[in-house]
Amino acid sequence: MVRLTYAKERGAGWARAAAFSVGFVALLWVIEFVDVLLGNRLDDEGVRPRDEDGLLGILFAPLLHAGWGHLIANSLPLLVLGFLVFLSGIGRALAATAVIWVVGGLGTWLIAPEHTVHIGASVIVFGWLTYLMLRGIFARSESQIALGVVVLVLYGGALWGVLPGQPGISWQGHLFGAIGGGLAAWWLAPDRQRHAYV
Amino acid sequence: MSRVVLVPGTLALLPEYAGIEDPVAALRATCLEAVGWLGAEVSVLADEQGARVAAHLLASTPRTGDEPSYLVVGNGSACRTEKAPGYLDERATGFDADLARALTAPDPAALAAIDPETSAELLAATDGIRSLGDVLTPDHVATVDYDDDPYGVQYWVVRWTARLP
Repeated sequence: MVRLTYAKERGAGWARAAAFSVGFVALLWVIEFVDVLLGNRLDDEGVRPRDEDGLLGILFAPLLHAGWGHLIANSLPLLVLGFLVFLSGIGRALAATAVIWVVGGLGTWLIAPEHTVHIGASVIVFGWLTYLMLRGIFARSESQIALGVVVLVLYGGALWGVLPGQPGISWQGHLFGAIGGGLAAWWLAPDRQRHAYV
Repeated sequence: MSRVVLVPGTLALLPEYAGIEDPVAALRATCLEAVGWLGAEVSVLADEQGARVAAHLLASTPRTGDEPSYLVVGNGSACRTEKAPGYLDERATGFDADLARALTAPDPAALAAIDPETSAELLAATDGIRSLGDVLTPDHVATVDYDDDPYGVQYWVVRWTARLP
């Protein structure tokens, strides 16, 4: 016997989605401002591969940026993709982001060269990108597949960033962020979630 | 004033079992209309299969309003004809007739007292329907939107709402 309650989210979903994506980007700007005041000292707190202390960087890395240019480059995709991700429910969006965050950080920590530091929210950008492109397929939702195709057309070119390219850009972070997004799309598809039995 | 809806838990209502032609088109339309009548927040009473059907119907309906709402998933016997999933069982017609009377009266005590063993023998999904006993009062008024047994399985779509005092 199953008893469960479906609570419809109240208020306009898009307003809340906008608040969360703008809020996240605003947080990044505040952190970068603090980082600049501290003489970029925070930038060492990113993922340092195979360094045990660098493991903690998995938590901080997506919040840190190497200067305003780096942050500006990430801001617009974070706003657009974040809005789309949060639009389908805050709880699910946060869960997906957590998967991307951890898989992206851990993967980078495992395979990137030692004595490097990896920071930046592009892990999240790549994760949200693959999440949006793939979740419709796992959820068997026509509207989400259509959205995934639109995202692919608009941002698909960025996916080349998962391959080694420009020095100084963490393609490892991009790659594992993208893998994290794919895993999140698979794990969080509605059919796979267990019902709560009361 | 609470709103209560009963729909059958047939897998044919799920998109993953869809075919080119919808074998339950009329039932589906009726279910969607009834579920759409519920408020935004809905409590589901069902067995596991029914919970899947409920999740799909709820996701497919835009709903507003804050009436306390219940979606119950269950159906009568699947042994009503020789071609039914459970073949013909002569008790099926009587069992379903009793059930229909208790649903439409409504008679909460009779619903709560449905025998799970007989239900299982007749392939009737009554887990959710038995718990209707906790939800309905004799003051509720039933509206039967669908009452048919295509494929030898008794399906109902019923809406209940409490009489205005």
